[in-house]
Amino acid sequence: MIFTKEMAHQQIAELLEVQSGLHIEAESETQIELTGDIFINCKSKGFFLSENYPVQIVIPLNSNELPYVIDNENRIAKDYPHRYDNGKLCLETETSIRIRFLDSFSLVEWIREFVETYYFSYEFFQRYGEFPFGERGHGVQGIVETYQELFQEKDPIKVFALMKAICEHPYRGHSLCPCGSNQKLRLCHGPIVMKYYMDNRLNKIVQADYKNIYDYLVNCYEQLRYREKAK
Amino acid sequence: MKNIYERQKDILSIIQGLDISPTLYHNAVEKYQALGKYLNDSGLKAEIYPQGSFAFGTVVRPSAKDSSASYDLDFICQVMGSRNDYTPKELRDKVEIVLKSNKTYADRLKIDDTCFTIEYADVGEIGFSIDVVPAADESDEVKQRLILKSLVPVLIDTAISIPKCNNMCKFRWITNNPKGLRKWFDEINAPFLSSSKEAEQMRIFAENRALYESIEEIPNELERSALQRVIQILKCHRNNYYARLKDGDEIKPISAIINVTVTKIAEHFNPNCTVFELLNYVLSELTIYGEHQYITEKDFNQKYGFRTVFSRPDGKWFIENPANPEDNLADQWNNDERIPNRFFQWIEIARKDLISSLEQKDNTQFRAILENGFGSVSVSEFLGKKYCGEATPRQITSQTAARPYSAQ
Repeated sequence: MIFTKEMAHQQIAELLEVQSGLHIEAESETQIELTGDIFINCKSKGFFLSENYPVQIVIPLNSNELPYVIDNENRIAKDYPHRYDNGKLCLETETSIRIRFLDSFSLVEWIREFVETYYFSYEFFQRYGEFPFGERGHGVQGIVETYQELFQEKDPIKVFALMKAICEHPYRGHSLCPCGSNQKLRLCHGPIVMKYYMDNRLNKIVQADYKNIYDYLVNCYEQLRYREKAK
Repeated sequence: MKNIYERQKDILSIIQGLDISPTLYHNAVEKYQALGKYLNDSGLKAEIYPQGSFAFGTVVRPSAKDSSASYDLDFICQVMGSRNDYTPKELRDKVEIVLKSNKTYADRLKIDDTCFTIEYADVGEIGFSIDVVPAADESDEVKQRLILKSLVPVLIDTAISIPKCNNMCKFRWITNNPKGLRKWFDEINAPFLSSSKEAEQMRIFAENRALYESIEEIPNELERSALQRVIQILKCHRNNYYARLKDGDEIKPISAIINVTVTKIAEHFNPNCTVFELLNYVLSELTIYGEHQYITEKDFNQKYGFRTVFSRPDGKWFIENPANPEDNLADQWNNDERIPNRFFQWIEIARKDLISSLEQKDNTQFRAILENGFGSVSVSEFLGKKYCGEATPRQITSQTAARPYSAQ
């Protein structure tokens, strides 16, 4: 996931072959910036999008930070809920993107699967007032939703319990499943969550997200207590 | 350089393709006349006549969700006598009994709260169904009341009463006046029709040489004016737009609203205009009427002068049926605010798709707009691969598609 300058240039060359409207705008030891138009030509749910969008793409170097897109010419409406005030687009949860590119990152695939789909969702939403594939909840809620899908578990409390177990214990199939079903892990969520115990890269992602959720919950709890005391 | 004229011509060729063909038209006329003859031969003195889009000449194939969908053609079966001669249920039963007593009709019959639907086998690939609504002449008392309220009293004479089923399956009378509405429409449409008559006759003749030996044989009902084309374009665009919405079937504006509002707006426009000049004007006016959502009736009148197609006295939407002053076509709008909200959002999208995009977009982008507006099956059927880019659009799989997020 960490780009060296050489790797980044190699992937940029591949990207420019399919998105010839982009060019390298600036380059430093810490990042490479691309600007220009990306051409999006896709369809789903009976809706077609064929359009150019001016963008700035930033690829951080020698860092664990993911590449990101800035809507530098304000093509996305200011009140659209998935664009930050600085123009940065909220493509997906980092969890989803990192897991998608667990083995190797591809700029071309990233543009296709996340950036193009983002603009598609945006235009669909502007036209029909609905998100074609849904939207993530904001903040921690979006992260929990991501794990609800990954763990195929609807209950967010059970998801959190599974995340905690993945972070704190090794995989033991004969132990009780952390979801509280009173079944052995291997007969319950085990087959789905085992890889998050075993694969160190996945385990690290869960650790980071678990910490975020935990800190958020602790913070909420403390605010609640503070308000109770103030009463 | 974009050839706007050619793009407009291509939109028109899609609409012409979705219009009822002369063969299907003749077939439908034959079928409804045969039905009228059968009813009368069976002792039910009744007149069958078209209403809605078949009467207005604004039929479009309902292809948005199903490309092989059949045309829905609406007819009134007006039984001799006035509503005072029957109870609503008696009248309905009378028609039902006669229809069910003939195997040809009984086998094709579907019955719902308001009408009897007779489905006909496909002609070529596309079939049609005839919706028959039983009716009787409206009572003199009601007609007198309507005349006093009407802005066009001469239309009221043809008012009818229709048996309408309520939730408890009890029937009551409701007033309607499809003949009056057609008369009103025909009068406004007449100058538009005469302006395009010659060109239309030539077009129909050229496209149907096997059917007609001379221009004189072409029924007037097959000619289309700019006004009729504008209504067809908007109906087709509406069908495709609302088909993409989850609640589209619940909030789709009824065709009568499009027919009436477009015709009222067109009434004072130059009848020698092109289809797209009129379309541009109609969409601009409808956009102005959208302001009713945000400002009071008084402020609207001050800002936009005498515009009465839509009004909103006391905050209630009102679109008068010109042939029935007691019929507010926007009745449902006052029960569900999603309907007006979405209607004016749709108008905005239609204006972008059908007016500004023709000038601003390149060919591939224009193709996408056509497919969004008129459905990919129809566009491919009538335009082939015209305006397609080299690369086919990539299909996004819903199940695995990324969903926008915000960490803040």
